[in-house]
Amino acid sequence: MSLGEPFEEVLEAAKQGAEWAWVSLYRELAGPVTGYLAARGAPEPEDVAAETFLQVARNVQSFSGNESSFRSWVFVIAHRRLIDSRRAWGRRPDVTALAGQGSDQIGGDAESEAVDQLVTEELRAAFDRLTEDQRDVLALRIIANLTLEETANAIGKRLGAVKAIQRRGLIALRDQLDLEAVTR
Amino acid sequence: MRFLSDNKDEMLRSAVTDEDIELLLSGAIPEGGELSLLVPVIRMLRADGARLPSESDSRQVAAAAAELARSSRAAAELSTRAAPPIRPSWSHLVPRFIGALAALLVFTAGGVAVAADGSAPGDALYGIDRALERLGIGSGRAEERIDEAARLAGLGRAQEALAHVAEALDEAEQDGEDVADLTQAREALDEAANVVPVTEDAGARAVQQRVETLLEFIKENVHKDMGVDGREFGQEVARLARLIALNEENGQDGDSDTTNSTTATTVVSQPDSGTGNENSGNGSGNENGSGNENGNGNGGNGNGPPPDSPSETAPGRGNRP
Repeated sequence: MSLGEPFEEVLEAAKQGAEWAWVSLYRELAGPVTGYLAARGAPEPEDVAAETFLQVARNVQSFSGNESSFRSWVFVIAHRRLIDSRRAWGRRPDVTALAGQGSDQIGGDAESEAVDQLVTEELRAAFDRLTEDQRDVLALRIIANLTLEETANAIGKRLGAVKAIQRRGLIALRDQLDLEAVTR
Repeated sequence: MRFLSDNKDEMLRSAVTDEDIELLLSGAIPEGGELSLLVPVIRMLRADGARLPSESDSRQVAAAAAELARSSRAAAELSTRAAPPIRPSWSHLVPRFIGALAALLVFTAGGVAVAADGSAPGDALYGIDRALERLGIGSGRAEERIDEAARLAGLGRAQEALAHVAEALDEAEQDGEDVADLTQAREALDEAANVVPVTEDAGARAVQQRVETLLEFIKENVHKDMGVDGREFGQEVARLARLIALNEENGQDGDSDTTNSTTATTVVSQPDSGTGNENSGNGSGNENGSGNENGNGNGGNGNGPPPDSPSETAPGRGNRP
């Protein structure tokens, strides 16, 4: 994290209810959390992200650990909120959640904006065709920017399993794009 | 397609190294080209996670989060200090009410939740409003106050308990809640807080009982539709608070009042087999509140004929006028 202050100080201030600490944590993690939730088909990613942070705040007194374990913990909670939100909406994750956050909302990323909308949607659709596990792992690795270890902690799997899942996911993704390139 | 990719998976298993994968995931282009087709999708996904939240979202979520952290800390500190309960009949009621209290206070008092409650889809606060609702928490401020007040009362710290409740009602007022007669309730609570003994002495036990009666009434009734019941609610809180103050000033000779308060408690906790007890508590409280100073309302309710049996009334509670 690029919190500006040592993580331990931010965490302690957050536990005491200092608003600056929560602003700091939110600014640091809201992007990854919202992106992760969107990629995993949360009906309203921003709302579920807010829920996630409030739940984190509610339970923060019982958290102890370093920055890395904090990140994993936040995504454990995000994942639970995700499941709840899907249940509340009574539907499975779908493509529209991801497609809905088009490149125009991303802002500031010239490369992404340069990719034309049609291609973007194809890429997202390809990602959405991966298995649940693969999407989970890849979203945590790529969008949430978690390390292998943090990802393993967040989804409660062993490191080796995470490695295998991400490899299979990437290859499946590659095959899909390969296929699309051929058939186009 | 699945068949195809499984085959390729086998073929590529040895060709793609873990280092390549780590490079790719970090947004770089791995050598060798096996995975280079994936670079655009990886970059797109990375960009998804790199979006910054808006300034206003950050402030609102952070403010609500800070509030929740503070109140959970306060609650944790209180619970570690809490001595074994003096009156089991009260303490076993507390956990059961926390959930309901949390939900109900969203609509009545304090803080972010109330501010957000008036918001509509598209408003900046709407997300937080819904987030709090879905987490089953209210503002984290007023609900904690009353919860803390209950704990304080259980510890025999009646004065602090009363001041806590007064503060929660004060916040409800400041937030512009349309709750009639909260002012008189708050003033009566302040007055009571000023006269109850700080130290534990012989009279403290009686005061404690009356404070607990008051808190039970608040807990049971505050979640009702305040637009309809606000006046009665405010009046009854004020009445119970004045009873506390009155008894204190008169020493221990306020026997009829004491009986009244105790009766109310009994009615509330009597059918404690399940959800029904909340309901009978409501009924008695309101009948008292309509100006019946001697506790006749309790009798009417306790005898059962008017509404229905507790088990029947429980589900329909919210609809009763």
